[in-house]
Parts: sequence; structure tokens; C-alpha cells
Amino acid sequence: MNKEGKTRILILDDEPIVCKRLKPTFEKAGYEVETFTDSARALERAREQDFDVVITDLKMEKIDGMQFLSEVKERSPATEVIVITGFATMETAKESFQKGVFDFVAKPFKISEIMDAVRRAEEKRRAAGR
Amino acid sequence: MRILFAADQHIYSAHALQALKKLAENTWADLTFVGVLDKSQDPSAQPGAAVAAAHPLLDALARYRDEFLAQWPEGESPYAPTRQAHEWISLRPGLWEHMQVARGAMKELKVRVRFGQTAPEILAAAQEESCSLIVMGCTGGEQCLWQDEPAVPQKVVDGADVSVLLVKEAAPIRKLFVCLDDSDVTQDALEMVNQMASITGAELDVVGLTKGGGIKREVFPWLNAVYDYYKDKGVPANIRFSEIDEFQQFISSQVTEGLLALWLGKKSLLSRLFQKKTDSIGHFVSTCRTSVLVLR
Repeated sequence: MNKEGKTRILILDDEPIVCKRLKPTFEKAGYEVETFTDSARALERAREQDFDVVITDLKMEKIDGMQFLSEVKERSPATEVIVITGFATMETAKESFQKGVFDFVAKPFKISEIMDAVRRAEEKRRAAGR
Repeated sequence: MRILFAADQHIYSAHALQALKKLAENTWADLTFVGVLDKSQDPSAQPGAAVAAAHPLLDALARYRDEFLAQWPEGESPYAPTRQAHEWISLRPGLWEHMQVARGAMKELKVRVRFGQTAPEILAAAQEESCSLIVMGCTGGEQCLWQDEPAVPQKVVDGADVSVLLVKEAAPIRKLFVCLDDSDVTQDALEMVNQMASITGAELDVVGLTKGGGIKREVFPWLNAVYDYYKDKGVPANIRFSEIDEFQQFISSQVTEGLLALWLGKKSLLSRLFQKKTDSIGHFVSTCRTSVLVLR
């Protein structure tokens, strides 16, 4: 959380429209949000700053989502990661959970679905005393 | 993704369940199975009465749930009811009980029955559950009906503001025809096609719909953008064109197997076409021989 007690969220998706859609909704709901369409830059930022929740796409150029989420979880195990993907398969779902993701959400999704996932992630963090 | 499976007790709903199983297996979507009974059978309207326990719809919904859960190997289902919780459940107006319920390990599978008019209750359920997709079966061939209420599939297609997958046959999907025009296809629609292409491994034919004068230069930028979108995502696609006025003939002659996906956003050529004609979108869709995915 930031100094004001706001939950910090990082959103990574190589499609700008996804970030444009999610950022204002989460900010209006009281979250602090940083968005990235470039996975390399997102990883740099995740190394500088711990986030409470990370929402990441899987299929991206440069660093793909699986690699990104592995690095985030290794650096900050308390960070809850939510995967969003337009190419959902059983294998990617299983692999994501094996790597410790909090939730796996196939696109398309309604905003309320992803907001529910973030709220549940926050509840889990609170229950763990974070 | 959240999916609403709207079902009755007839064979086409069982076929649609097979399509849903494949979708859920890959997307791990939250699911709601819903059936609708007439309001006269609502026990809350008749204190002391039980839901028509012998109604075949209730048996069918339970069977669909059991069959759905049984497809997963032991210990691998995200829907396995292993998460125990206590919830307040209404037994009748004025009486609630705090009951132990079993919820899905990672993903929700809800099985519900609603009372009222079928199509409006299905649409209301989709909205309440924030679903991105409604999946339902219907009779095959050149009709698309529900046995007890023939017009239900057409009414759902006409009234839904989310995508609807109408499953007409149990055959695997090897070809996916996606009919688009230049009317700002939504990201949701493109993503739905991505998922279908990924899950089925089907060959993708993008059909550009044009109006007046055949292929025009203006058609190309948006169609190229769509083609590039799928190419960048690693989904190989073929491009072809059809004049909107010849669309019905195109469907009859070219789309005889696989899945037909129609972009039916408010400003799409197809939506405008159906506003002018007396046929509804639902009626048109009912005449298609293949399963249909209405994209919104």
C-alpha cells in the first residue's frame, strides 16, 4: 500500500485499450494504478517498487507474462498476481496457478469481474496481515 | 470471463453442454447454469409448497452439473466443490437459515432455477452475473428452436447485449467464419474470436462485409487492421469479402460447417440491415445451418 493506505496496482497489457479501460475505473475506486504496455519497462518498475496487486496479460513480446509473473512472485511473494489472457488454455491456467497466481481471468471480461478479483486479492492480503 | 449456460431438459441443451465443457476447460470461466420454470411453479408464491420436484428441468440441471464436474481428473478441477463456507439462505419469505455450502475450489459453478418468462429471465441472469457470453443449444438444421418454447433462442439473440453462442450441432469446429464490417468492432468481440480460435484450433476466415459497389478502397484499412491483429497474435487468418445484400446467399452456399461468428454491434451493417427488414437477427440466425456466435 502507499502512504495514504491505497492499494497499489500494476497493470501490464500490450494492448493499450485494455490499460485505458482499466486505469480510470480502478483510480475512481480509490486504487493507485500504474499501467504499462511494454513488459520490459513493467519489469523494471516492478523491481523498483513493490505492488500489492499485479494484473498481467500472458501473450506479449519481449518478456512474456509467465516470465513476468515468475519474476514478480520471486521478488515479492506477497504481491498477488492476476493473469488476464485472450488465449486461455488449460495448460496456461494450470501453469499460472502452479506459479502462484491469485486468479486467472480469460478475456473478454466485464470490469466488475476484474474488480471482484482485486477485492478478493486485497481480502487475502488483509487476512495474512499485509 | 463469466459464462451463462441457459438450458432446458432437451437433447440440444446436452449438446451445448459439450461446447461449454470445452470452453470452460480452457478459459476456467466462472459459470452459471440457469433453467427457467413458469411463475406458477414458484414455491415462494405458494407457502408450504415445494418446487415441482419431479420437473424434468431440475433433474436435467443436476445432471448437467454432475456431468460437467465429472470431466475433470481427480484433484484437478477448479470447480470442485471443496471450499466450505457458511451462507444465509432464504427458505421462504421471512425465514433464513445459516447453512454450510460447498463452493468451487477456484472458480464458481452456480446452478440456478428462475421463475418467469424464459427469455427475459435468461437475459436478466446474464446481466446480474455480469456474463460476457451466453451459451445455449437449439434445434439444428434451418431452425433454431426450443422444444417447449420455440422462440426462446431467437428472443435471447435479439435481446442480449453480450455475445451469444447458439450450439446447433455436436460436431467439432474446424472452421470459424468471422463476419465483420468497418463499424468499430469492440475489443470484447475480437477477444471472443481469439478464444474460440485458440480453443478449437479452427481455421479462421475473416469475411469483410461491404455495401454497394463491391470491394472498395475504404474497406481495406480496417480489414487490414483486423488481419494484422490476428497475425500479431499468431492466429492465421484468410480474408474474403461479401456484399451485404448477398450475405444470406453467401451464408447458404459457403457456410455449411464450423462456426459462424457475426459482429452485431449497434452500428454494424448487419444490425442496420435487420432494422430495415422485418426479419429479426434472431430469425436470421435461426436459418443458419451451423452453430452461430453472435458477437457484441
